[in-house]
Amino acid sequence: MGLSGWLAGFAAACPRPMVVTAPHGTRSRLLVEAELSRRGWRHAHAPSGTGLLVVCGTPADALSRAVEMVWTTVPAPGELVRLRGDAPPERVAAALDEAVVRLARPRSPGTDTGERTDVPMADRGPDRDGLTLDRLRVPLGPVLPDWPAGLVVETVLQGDVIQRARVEVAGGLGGERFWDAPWLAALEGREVTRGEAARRLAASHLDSLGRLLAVAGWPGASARARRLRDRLLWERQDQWVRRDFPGFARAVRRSRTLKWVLRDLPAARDPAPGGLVRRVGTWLDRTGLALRDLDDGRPLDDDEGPRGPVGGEPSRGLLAVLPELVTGADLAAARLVVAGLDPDLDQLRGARDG
Amino acid sequence: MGEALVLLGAVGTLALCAAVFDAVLAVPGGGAGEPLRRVARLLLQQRRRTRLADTLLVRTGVCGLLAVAVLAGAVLPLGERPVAEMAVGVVWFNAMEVGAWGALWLVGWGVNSVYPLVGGYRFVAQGLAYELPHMFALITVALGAGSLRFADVVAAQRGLWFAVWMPVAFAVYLVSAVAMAFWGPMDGPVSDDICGGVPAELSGPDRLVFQAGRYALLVVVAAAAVPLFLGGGAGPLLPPWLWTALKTVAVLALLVWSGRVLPTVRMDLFTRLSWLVLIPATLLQLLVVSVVVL
Amino acid sequence: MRDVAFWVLAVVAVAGGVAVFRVGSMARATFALLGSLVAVGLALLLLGLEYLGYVIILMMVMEMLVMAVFMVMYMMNPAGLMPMRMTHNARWAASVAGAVFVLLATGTFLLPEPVRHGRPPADPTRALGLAIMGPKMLVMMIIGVAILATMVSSVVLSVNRRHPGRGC
Repeated sequence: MGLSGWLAGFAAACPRPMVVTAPHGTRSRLLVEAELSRRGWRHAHAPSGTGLLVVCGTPADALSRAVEMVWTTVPAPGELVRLRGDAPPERVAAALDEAVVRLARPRSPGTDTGERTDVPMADRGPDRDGLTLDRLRVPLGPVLPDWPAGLVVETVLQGDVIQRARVEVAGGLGGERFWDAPWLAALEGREVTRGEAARRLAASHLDSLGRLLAVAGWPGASARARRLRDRLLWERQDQWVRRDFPGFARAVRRSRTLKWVLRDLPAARDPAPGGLVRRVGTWLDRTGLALRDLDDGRPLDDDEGPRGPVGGEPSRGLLAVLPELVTGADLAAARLVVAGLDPDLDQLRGARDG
Repeated sequence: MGEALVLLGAVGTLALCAAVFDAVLAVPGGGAGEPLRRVARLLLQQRRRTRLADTLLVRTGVCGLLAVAVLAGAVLPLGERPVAEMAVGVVWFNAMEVGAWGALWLVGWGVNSVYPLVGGYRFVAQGLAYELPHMFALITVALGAGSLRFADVVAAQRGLWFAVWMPVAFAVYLVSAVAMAFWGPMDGPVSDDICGGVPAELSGPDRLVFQAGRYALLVVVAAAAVPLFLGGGAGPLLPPWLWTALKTVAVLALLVWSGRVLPTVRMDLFTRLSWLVLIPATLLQLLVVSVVVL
Repeated sequence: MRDVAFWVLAVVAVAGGVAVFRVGSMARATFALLGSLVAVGLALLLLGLEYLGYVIILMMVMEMLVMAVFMVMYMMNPAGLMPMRMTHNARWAASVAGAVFVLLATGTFLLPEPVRHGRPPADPTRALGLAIMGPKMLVMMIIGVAILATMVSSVVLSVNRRHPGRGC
């Protein structure tokens, strides 16, 4: 054993996992996030800071290559855990436990690893003030924390300002649309209660809120949104959720700093008054309403999913406006705008796989 | 020599306390052991290198951050006396703390990767925004005390703490303190939206030393608020060193806590706030203090 | 002791200055120059001018980083991707620099060495302030604030022009 062996065991209990999700891997992402929060493991936000790479869902070609590349940049000792999109909760917990056991094995630390390939050299072009400056082609995603699964925004950056943006999709195998599932099932003629749909809707908005608040750098509120989501979706502690949600909603609505940070950022193509601030308010309103209907046993008879009519693939529309909204924004603003749109790429069937 | 060891020990202990407090806030009911486990993990972790990195600059920046934090702490009274007694201690503190700009920029540039580079950008922009209000806050203190020596500043607060009669300067100091240590609402240079920013490509010992430097800087800027605004070691019953420690812990806890309860402020917004609100406000505060001192 | 410190700092300052033109990246050149200027700031401490010494370090760190922002960071090729020469128009620049050096060096030998009058003041920082500004203290302060007010107002104006329709 020796000292390094003991240290390895001591360190393995908090591996700072980094979670990568493929389209149609939403269910296992949610299970993993719930399990990580139950264990009190904090997330890593870059490959070099992690000891455990967790891949949820099955990536198709482009995403698979991206994951491979990220995996080569995870420093040793590191472990890779792959979970299928339909992995049950026990499998998730067991996979994490196994990774901890493997991480705890003593080994000799290596030195420098292979070098990573990086972005191409910059070229030049006029910036917004008419100066000719270097610009760099940088893809945002598909492996990025708090980012829609499978989304790639190919950008041209000058400084940290986006000059041009184009959306690509790095797809995943499978076909599950986790957030739309109750409505799709009802359309197929299966019996689904309105309560189940309301639960899924509230959880979906809480998930979007958790992501936006995380991108806004408000970890406390983001963790609270995600705890509410997990309790609602997996633990079904409806009473607890109904008690805790109003306080959370009040804190988010009242935060002047959040309003200030989100101010002037668009949530749709038409510069509607309020923009992202209003989007946050809408999510909170709809979540609050849905929480009242959790026990509604009547059969579901509409198709209004969390992002709109589930038959119409509303996320396609969100992706269509995305480039326009982020062009001219700096990275910080662009990340917030994307989190505010929060497209669900599970909705894209037969999506191009760039 | 003895005092230098006390300083290093105090900064190290408080840095660990800050990390533990932050971990407990992040994971309520657990997480207290996380920072030490993280240290163990980084000690064992392999050191990774990016393509065509400027390793000399990166190492200079990583070690420089810790170095400037400790050097800035050298002029702070640990009770009654600092490690280095200087007639212009306040200027020394200011000069060292600006060294963090260089350290962060070197790391962000040197690793040759987009997100660290953006983080480096953000910190220099943040620095240019917070530095003028910060300097005016320090000048206000120096004017109130009639001296740039920390001991004189403490002595001048025997009757009334500067935090009480220069509230604007104190508030601006606290804002610039989190900005200086790129912490909490000012953590844009290392924020999650750019994959952790400046240290995004650091692993193993490099990341460990960088994080140690960041926490040390946070501790030192919190500790500096005590002699500058909170009467230093003055207080009833307890010895000065203990009062200094208690007040430092209180300020440090406030700064760490701010990171949980406030969103990150975007750099363009902060720059506007700084030029349009903070600078005029500190100038008015300076004017008021000048009139009172005259 | 002081002599040793002086020579060490002098060598570091000159070596940093030389390094500016020998290294292959603007980032390294910037920080070589910073090292050189910090050595000059520390040399002032040997004269007992603490305030000036630290202010030089403070200002130079900030200035070098502002320079880094303007010169280096608008180029998006970080680190040592593209080695580049740090000299332009080398022959002409070298002759000008040589001439200036000869002029200054000759001056130091030709002028009589200054002799100390009286004693060093108890508080050199205060003495320095009085020596520089003297009776014009009030005027200097007012001008300083006026310059700053001008800067702030120009920022106010430019902020509104950059984002038409957005308040501030």
